[in-house]
Amino acid sequence: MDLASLLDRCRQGDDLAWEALVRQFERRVYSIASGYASGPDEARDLAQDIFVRLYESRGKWAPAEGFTPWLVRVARNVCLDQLRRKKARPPAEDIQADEMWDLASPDASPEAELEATGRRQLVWRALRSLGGLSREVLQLKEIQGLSLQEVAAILRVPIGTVKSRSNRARLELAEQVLALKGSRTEGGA
Amino acid sequence: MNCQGFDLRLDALLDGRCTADQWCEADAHLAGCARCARLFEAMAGRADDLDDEGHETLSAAIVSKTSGNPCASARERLCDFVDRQLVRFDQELMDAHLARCPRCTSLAAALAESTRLLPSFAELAPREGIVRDVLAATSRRQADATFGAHARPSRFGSGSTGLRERVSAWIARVAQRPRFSFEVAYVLTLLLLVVFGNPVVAFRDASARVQPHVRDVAHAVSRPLANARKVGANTLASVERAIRPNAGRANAGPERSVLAEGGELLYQWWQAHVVAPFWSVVSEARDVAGRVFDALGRAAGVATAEPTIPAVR
Repeated sequence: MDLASLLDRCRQGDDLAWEALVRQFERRVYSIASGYASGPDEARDLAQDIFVRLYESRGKWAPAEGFTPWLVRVARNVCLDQLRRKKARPPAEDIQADEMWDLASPDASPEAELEATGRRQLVWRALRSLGGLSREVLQLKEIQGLSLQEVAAILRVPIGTVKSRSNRARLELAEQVLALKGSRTEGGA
Repeated sequence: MNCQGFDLRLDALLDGRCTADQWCEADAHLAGCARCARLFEAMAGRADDLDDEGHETLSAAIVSKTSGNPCASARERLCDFVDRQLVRFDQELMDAHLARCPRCTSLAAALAESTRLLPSFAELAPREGIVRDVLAATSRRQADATFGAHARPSRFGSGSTGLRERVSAWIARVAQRPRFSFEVAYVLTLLLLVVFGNPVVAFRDASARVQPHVRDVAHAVSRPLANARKVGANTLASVERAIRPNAGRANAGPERSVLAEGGELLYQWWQAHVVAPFWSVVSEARDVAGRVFDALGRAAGVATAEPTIPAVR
């Protein structure tokens, strides 16, 4: 479905177009919300708030070509607003990622799916254990695929800083993955 | 040949640039001089008692004493290495380092795997779809209609039934807004303060003061309501006059015209779907308004029955 037409119809108040837009971006918005939420329930609430904010500002939407980065920025702002209201960032330590987040892989065979889901859960748990700043850079650049310029604009830091922070966060993530792998192996032995 | 002469000729001996006579002299000296024999064996590479691991340890020790641990430098380039962003020379340097450093190798593998998997988190599916909740909280359209759970209330439904459905749909939408609970709490607090008074002395007689305002509001609201009712009734009457079938003309002959029949059908439809619902809604609205103002008046009266406050009647 052509995004530009969809956005136009939403701006004109077409409820069906709005539903299609929600369906199209629901998973992405939920993913962003998950980066800031302490659990799936809070992520759901955040995702709802993001869409409500989006709906209320229909007249100010970015054009189709820059809509996704703009949406990511709005989503981030809503999440940060909510966190500010709670006056605390979500504690990462008490998250039982394996049990709380549904990370089933769409792979075909059950064995491959099981293995892929295990790997994804490992990386997801490592990601959740990172600090807020590292997680945010990874969320914007590596997960949502924004360019360095777009991430720099959102975080209001120079491009070079984004690059270095991103590399540092990726290394932290890899180290965390190794640590979790090690603990899993020890636990299994 | 003495040891000094052997030292001078050592390079030529190792490089094979000596004549047969010079070799004979050197051999004769080596047979009698243990120091030069050891030196020659070492220089010829035949005295190496280090295995691969020994060399590895030695290299590591040398690097550690000179440039420091190279893993830090490798880490700096690891992301670019995984992303294949390094120039060829640096890529080869990294390959060489990783071939001998298991720690950096496993880190590179973890980095490559997480880099590959991270984009898959761009879209996550909540266990229960949130589309329905979002639509209920935003769209004017009924979410139920999308999911087929209930029939959508008709916007053109007749009279009070349509109105009731629209009002309940509006309330349902409002109730699902995120800030609804705060707003309800705020309004209820205000109502409680107005109706039952306030423990703060300055507001103790608030309910007594509010009663005349309730009367004023009731008076102010009742006049436009009556006007609206009158205008509506007049409009209905004029339309009714215009479309009322003429009994004399309609029954003039056995061959009633199609036009007359159409007019009668239109009149019946008008009576059933416009006139009756209109009066029903007007009557209902008047009853509700009367009950609300009665209740407010009674509540204010009860509150003013406190001994210190004179009743406003």
